[in-house]
Amino acid sequence: MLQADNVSVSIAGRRLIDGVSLALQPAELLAMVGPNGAGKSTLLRALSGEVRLCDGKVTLDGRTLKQIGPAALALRRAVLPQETRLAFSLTVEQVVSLGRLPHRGRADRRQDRIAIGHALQAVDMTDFTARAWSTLSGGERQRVNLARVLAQLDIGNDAGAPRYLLLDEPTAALDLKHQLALLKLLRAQVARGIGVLAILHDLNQALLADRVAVLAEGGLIALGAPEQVLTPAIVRQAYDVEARVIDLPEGGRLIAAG
Amino acid sequence: MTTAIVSRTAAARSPRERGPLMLAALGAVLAVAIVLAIGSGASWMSPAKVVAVLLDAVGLNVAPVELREKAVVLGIRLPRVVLGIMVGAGLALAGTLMQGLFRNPLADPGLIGVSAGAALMAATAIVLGGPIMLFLALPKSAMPFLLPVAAFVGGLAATMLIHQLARRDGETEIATMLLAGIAVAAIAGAAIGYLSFLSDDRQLRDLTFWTLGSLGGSSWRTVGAMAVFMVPAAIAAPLLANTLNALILGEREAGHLGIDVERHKKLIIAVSALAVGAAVSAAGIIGFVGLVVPHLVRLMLGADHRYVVPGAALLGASLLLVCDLVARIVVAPAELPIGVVMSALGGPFFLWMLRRRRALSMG
Repeated sequence: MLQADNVSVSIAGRRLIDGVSLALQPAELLAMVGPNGAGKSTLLRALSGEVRLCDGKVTLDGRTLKQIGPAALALRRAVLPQETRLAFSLTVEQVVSLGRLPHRGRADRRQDRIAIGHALQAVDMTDFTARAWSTLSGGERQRVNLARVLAQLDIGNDAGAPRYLLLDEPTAALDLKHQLALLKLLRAQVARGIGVLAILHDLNQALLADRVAVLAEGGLIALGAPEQVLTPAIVRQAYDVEARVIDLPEGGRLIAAG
Repeated sequence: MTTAIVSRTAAARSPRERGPLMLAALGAVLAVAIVLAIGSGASWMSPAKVVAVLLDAVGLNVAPVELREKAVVLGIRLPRVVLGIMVGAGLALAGTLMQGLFRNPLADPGLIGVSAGAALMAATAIVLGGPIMLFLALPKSAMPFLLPVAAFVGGLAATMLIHQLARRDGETEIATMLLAGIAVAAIAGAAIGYLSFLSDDRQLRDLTFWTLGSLGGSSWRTVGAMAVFMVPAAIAAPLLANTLNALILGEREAGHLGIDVERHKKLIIAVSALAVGAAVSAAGIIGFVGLVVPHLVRLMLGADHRYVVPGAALLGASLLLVCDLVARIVVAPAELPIGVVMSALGGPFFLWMLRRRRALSMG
């Protein structure tokens, strides 16, 4: 379990999140939603061990991230940032193979190759292996980066300690087809026992998660099953927007705002 | 369909296979440069002769070798060549490390003031070396090391200052980096100018040599003093290749990949300052090697630092030997400072890079 316990983060004197507790379980898809500036990215960065906490602690199976150390942590959790800007152009394959860095000395060349192949296949980029990053579109870059974090979490089997995947707006740069493919892919990771936390902007996508966390003004205002959390009242409280929840006759529901 | 897949996998392999091949080619270029550099001078020696003398020196007698030839090669030309190799490799490695750290291809020890910082401390050691040794109660035998140590400290301080100024939230502000470099170079220049007023005639000649850069006056003693600093840097740099690769993605991403970023950044700064300090203490300020070489190497074999780091060392050494050759030939029997030759080459290259970057960012 990857757990934030009463976590507060301030950057440059501004409190970005204030006393938030949130636990990511293995084999669940947890969606994080909320308005701009609610502290979603900050909370994700706190969970990834990237920012210094003012208060509270983040633990993985009971041990703080500092106790675990960066190298061991990298074998158990991967992070997909909102946008990655490469300093020098690499090929697609080189970018994905960087995901194998934590496995140096653990996995052999063959295992690395297989993991990279699987990851590229999962994001539908196998035809791009030799392409230079600089020639890719924003959506293609996002998919390559996703393949990189998938390769990072690939240990050849699904035994062993649970692993976690943290994604900051993974669907932002993707077209509709690849957004759906991504959500399916995240589901597949969950089926393998990986705990997935994704920041999403589309509330209809959040409906597909196992649980939804709603953040506003640096605090957690709701957490639970999507149908309990994504209600007109909570949407109004978080976004200051009127929304209707429409139950579809063929099953499922739709959230319409405005 | 099948052919498409085959050609795709072949293309995908190419960077991996091209790396070792290109390194071998760069090694061959360096070997040629070494033989040419040893062969040319007041009396020309054929490549076969040079090889014969070198083999003779390690105990392999393949052809008759005259004592005079041996004395010229081993006593005069070889130390200069070895020094050139270390200076060129050191500056190119420092450039590679700094560009990886700053995540920017314009980070060059000369451009961002690191060489100037090193030169200032070296100049201080030249002019005030006597009193400093006295003050620190060091034995006279430590004197040859005072210069590289001082240059290392100066380079380290300048790198840390620029890094502090130009980095914000894991990203480099390029304008700040370059402008801060100009400022540091100006301050160092002013201080060196002031030091020149305090110095006697001999010290003044030494100081001029720093600011222009030269391999003249090299001896096995300078080679030895420099090796003490250069060898550890050359060993450490390839060990940082994986970190540099992760830094291509960004500092945060490198952290997510399990790298202790803050510690490794300090290591990169220390190793590059070690290389710059050693190079500047032995040959003065030679600009643009750290800019031109890593860029060319990346064009040749891609940005994977496992190949860029050794490739830059090989090409940097070759480039410096060739420039030294030019410096010795164009106004023979006198010689140009090598820094002048490097700047004549590197300045236009820098302008070309600026233009190319602008074209790229607009496209």
